[in-house]
Amino acid sequence: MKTEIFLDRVVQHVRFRPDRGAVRRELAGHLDDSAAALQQAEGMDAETAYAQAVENMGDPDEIGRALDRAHSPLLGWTWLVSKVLCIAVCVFLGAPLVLGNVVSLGISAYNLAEYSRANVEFEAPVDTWIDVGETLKLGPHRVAIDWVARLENGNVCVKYHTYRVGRAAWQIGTPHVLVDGERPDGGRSNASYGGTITVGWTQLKGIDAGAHMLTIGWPNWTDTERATIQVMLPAQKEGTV
Amino acid sequence: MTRGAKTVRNFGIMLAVLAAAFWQSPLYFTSDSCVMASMESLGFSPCEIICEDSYAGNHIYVLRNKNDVYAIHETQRIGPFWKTAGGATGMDFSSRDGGPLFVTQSGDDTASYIVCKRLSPEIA
Repeated sequence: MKTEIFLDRVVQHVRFRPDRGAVRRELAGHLDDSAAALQQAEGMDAETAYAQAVENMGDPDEIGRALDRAHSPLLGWTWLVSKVLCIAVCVFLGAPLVLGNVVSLGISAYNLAEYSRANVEFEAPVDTWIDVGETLKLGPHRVAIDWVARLENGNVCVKYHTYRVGRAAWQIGTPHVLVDGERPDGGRSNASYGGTITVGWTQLKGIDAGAHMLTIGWPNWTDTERATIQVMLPAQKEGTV
Repeated sequence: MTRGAKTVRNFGIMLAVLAAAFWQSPLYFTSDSCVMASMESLGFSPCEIICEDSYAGNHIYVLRNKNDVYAIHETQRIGPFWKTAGGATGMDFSSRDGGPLFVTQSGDDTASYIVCKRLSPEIA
């Protein structure tokens, strides 16, 4: 039997068509090796060696049925579909997800460094630094009040960063700051830089030079042990007003 | 690795990616769980649903927390899942009998209005 006819008869039994090519190539490889060995060992010509190799393989129908059992169509199609779906999910969903999170983390790291106490720049010299370093647990949100800076021009800046430890549909907003229990009359400005960790600050304007108790956080937040922290702001240093 | 093992691995990877996307989205399996989770992340918990209605395929809720503050919140269907669609707290509602619970809001700072289906006089 000729090699091509032999291979055709074998692979026609393999019902999972996508595997037929690979099965054919593997069998052809075995026949090549077998024929080469026969040519070397017994000095046959190529045509005779291949014919002998085919005969040595055995019944092509029997071989085909055995290969069909080893290449189940159900498992084959399931595997192929899972492969295509897996690639699609990873490319169109997984990769953007990973990339988005990596970029977000990078942005957060940059912002944390850029607006750290060592690097931040104000419009006026700092009169008083207060390192706070306390964290509020508000549902899925964690808010760390980093420091409070009183500037020589009377402004008070509160810097914080937030992150989530659970699922949350919403970002938490800017913390409220009460001065001696009251909302300050002067202006207020806020800024925040989002990412996996949001870095932000709120700046109160027109705070007089005396000592004040600041209440920072979310006084109306229910269902938490502690929704605010208190920071004692000392009086402004003499000669800096 | 056998073909069977590869198939299991592929489905496992898919499930992991889908679960991560679902968790981060965030989407929820039910509208009620969506609104309660949303209220928790807004600091309105613990609260109870005192009124619920449907509008344009979305669900609209009136909730009340332990301080008797009212909130209104909307959830939106995304396929078989639900996500939050916004809301407001501390509103004074004016009810109109027979009307659906309904929220509209336009851009450019135009006014919002709310029509409540009053189930009890407590919803003022």
